[in-house]
Amino acid sequence: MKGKIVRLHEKLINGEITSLELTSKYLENIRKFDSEINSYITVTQEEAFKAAKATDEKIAKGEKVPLLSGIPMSFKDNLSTKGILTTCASKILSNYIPVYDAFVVEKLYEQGAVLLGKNNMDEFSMGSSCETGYYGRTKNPYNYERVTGGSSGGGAAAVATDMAVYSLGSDSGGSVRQPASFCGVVGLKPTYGAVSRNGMIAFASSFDQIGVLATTVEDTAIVFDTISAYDAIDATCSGKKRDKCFEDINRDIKGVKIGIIKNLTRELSGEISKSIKDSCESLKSLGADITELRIDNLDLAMPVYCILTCAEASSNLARYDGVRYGYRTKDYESIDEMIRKTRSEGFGSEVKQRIMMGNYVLGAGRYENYYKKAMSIRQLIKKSVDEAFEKVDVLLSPTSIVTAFKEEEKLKDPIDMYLSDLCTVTANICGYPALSVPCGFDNSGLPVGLQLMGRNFSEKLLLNVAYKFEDANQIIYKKPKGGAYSFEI
Amino acid sequence: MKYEPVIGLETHIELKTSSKIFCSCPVSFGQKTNTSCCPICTGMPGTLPKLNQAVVDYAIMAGLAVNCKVSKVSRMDRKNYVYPDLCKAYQISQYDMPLLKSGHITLSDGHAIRIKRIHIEEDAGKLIHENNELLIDYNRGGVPLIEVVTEPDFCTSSEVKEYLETLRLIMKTIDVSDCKMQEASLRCDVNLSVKVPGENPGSRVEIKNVNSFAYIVKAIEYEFLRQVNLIEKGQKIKQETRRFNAQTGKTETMRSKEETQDYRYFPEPDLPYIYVSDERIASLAEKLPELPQSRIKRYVEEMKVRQKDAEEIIKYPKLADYFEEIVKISKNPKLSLSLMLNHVYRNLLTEEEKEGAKISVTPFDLAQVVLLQDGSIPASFVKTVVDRMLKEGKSFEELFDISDFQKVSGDDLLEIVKNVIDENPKAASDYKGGKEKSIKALIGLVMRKTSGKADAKLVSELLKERLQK
Amino acid sequence: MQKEELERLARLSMFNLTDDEIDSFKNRMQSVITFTDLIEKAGAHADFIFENSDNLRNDTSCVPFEQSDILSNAPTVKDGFFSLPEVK
Repeated sequence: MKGKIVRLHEKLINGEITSLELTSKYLENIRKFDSEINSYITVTQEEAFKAAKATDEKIAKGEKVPLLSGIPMSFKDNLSTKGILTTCASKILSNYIPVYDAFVVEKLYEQGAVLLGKNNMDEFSMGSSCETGYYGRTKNPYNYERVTGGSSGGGAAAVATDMAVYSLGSDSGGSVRQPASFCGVVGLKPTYGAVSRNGMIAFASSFDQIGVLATTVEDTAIVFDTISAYDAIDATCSGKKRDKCFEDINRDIKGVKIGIIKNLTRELSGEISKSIKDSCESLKSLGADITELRIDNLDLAMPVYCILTCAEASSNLARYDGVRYGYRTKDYESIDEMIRKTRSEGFGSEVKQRIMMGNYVLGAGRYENYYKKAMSIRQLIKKSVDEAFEKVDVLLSPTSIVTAFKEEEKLKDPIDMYLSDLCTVTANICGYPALSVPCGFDNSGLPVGLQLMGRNFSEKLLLNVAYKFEDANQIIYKKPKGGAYSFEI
Repeated sequence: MKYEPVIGLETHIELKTSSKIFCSCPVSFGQKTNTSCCPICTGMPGTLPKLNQAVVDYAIMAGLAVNCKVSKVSRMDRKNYVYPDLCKAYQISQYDMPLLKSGHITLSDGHAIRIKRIHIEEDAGKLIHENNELLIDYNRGGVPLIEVVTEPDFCTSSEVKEYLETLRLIMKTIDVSDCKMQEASLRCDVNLSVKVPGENPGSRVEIKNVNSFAYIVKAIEYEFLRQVNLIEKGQKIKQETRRFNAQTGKTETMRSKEETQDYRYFPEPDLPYIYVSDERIASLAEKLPELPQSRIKRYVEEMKVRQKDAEEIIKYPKLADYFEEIVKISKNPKLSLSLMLNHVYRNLLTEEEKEGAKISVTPFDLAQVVLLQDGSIPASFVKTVVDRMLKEGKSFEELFDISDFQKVSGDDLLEIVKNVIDENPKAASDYKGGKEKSIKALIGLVMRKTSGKADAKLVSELLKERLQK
Repeated sequence: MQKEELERLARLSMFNLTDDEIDSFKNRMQSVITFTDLIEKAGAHADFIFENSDNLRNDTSCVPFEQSDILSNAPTVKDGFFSLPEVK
């Protein structure tokens, strides 16, 4: 299925529309709908117009422009943008303006991307509902009482409602895929080390990976190809040569071995279960070789995720002390008091709890039983997943065992919230790539997502399978009316 | 004595790489505040560290120089504690997998001080407290350090001093650090407990950041007596961290055990493990220059210079290099070394000039002086010659005419001797009459007439011969 | 999760907690800890390491940032320093 980027690019170079007009349309959508949906923390109209004009001038001069040139897009507010407020949806960074651009930001600017603004998120990416941020919750465009999922909920909602053609988010346990699934868009979490983390404000360093949110698989592939590159600044960024995913994305998937993860599909609600079953049938009819298999130790994935991400976060977030940047409390008498008051006033309660949890599992006398043990189980889980990859090329499951839940529904119980990422965390634990592609709707008209996970650097295959699936099912056109605000271009 | 101190040392040494340990900001001293900084070394959100290869290499060289084993696999860890000079609120250091392990330094009496480990880590920024205001400069933040940790093998403060002097000399010789205490490029923490022979040592007290060798000796001596006094009074030694107060000469409590930090170490997730190949170790070992102890031995055994002189010249490795260059040409180690110690040293006014062997002429130029000194220039002129050469940065030939120094001898000298005897008949007859001392006056007069360019011994012989006739 | 333990963690984390926070965090953290205790039963294995070979940078220095950029986000500065006024 042809994506928006290629179609818009053609219109731009044919002169059917200018980037300035296109950008204005998107900004108009933001003006109209975002006071309600709240997917943006900052809108960068001035910068957007400037970038749009730059593309228009090039086209007017007859210069060849890249696919992403002049296309309006957005970044999650944990990606550093030079001169533009970058808050992580936290009071503690509510006045922070980076002096440098993240690697991915630089990459996209080079292509002539038009930045519309910075998207809402859970504070420091800690959450799965986009409700914990300092700037309030983002509403699901399909139903305002429902959550967008998180933490990259702002980007998912913006993409779903034509408030951005695509958006970059980050995914540490499902933070791109789960909101993609809740908002009916495509979300890709690349292989750990495929995309430089340089400039992405860390939550959990060994889990975080920048990902793409877009309405179609093709768009996702184009954006991913652009941001997936070696960066000398990030020591964990791989030097491996990248396959171009957009090239022959339409190729046949006959014989591709896909394994349904039995232990993640067993206890599904009827509607999600049906969507997944239908999806498998569809893939089968496309020639894929579908089997069912069990992966051991997946029940340990969420506790391991909890321990390790909290540990890393407790350390990553210790630097927010009011000394060099960000919020600083007013009254204090000592250095110590200034730091304590700043942090107590600057962080929300979810962040505080996770930091304390991290300090608990790293503390003297607990390190061995929690952090170290969890590290070894992380290896065990990877081994189990690797065994599955000896038999199949792609692992299939729903992206989430639930569809978009009601606001505040899961805020009461932290475990309940964590478990909404049950299907997605494994990819982050192993560092493997995974994506979510819309595969249907539940009875209330809320989108369901299908997750495909592959081996390291198998994005090309995942996007290929997802593309064929999307093309065969055209879910995007089956969207129920009255929810999203997309307009025909 | 009934009590023995048990002392261990942790020495932090700044490495003189061109860039910092995790970013490409220059390592420099005395810059304007916060101008040798970037988002990485000021801990701005979203920044990532990347380890400097030279830090690993320098540390390995340092380790090899003190007989350490290089770990094939090691890693960086985070040491978490909050203080405004530590911009990320954790220090990237090494915890349970250090780069180097089990080495030793042997002291002059043969006692080996075991080195438990050497690890690499980043330095913190600088804090200044001024009129109720805290000021922070992060220029030093991210400067690479090695921490050299010994076993508790020291028994006296003089052993500690010798160890530190040796360690500093080794680091200077292999050129990985300047080791300047006044610039805090070498800092020391002392662990001290007191032991009654035959019993286990008591609680350990750590004395932090003592910043001169003299203070370290004082701190150890004070702390030892303090602990002995407490034990004698039947009191328990508290395990605590203390600091040395240079004004009072005493150690004082910084924080006690109950408040000891929980550093919550864990592997640094932003950095891959460090793998060192055998080939790399071999090539670094090859790069190591000759170490001080072997250099002294060689000077004494092969060059036949005095031990004391050898020890003196190797204190400044670059001056020793320079000396060896002179010897290559002059083939006369003894005279070359005396030229260095007696004349060149005098012209190097600051430590820095000595450290850097900042000599304005080439070893070849000075070797010429050594060669000439071996006959052509009288010893009494060497001082003048070297002083002028070094002051003006010119070679001997550019400054002097060799004939100025040519000794008066042969018929010329005989003529002068004759004249002097003729002009001083009293002294001559005195000598002839048995007053042997009066010859001295005559020698002096000959020397004056030759402007000192005669061999005094020869003059004396000529005079005696003449007067006996 | 005892109150004292929570207070110790708050100190380590540099937080002042209100009584309400202590009450609510105590229970929530207890449930997370109970949940993570699931790993107790699992056997221990080799440590997890990403298969990244070491990736080091060359020792070349670059022009650092302007002092004004480095200090641009600081709540207070003085004479080119980051500053924190009114502390004892």
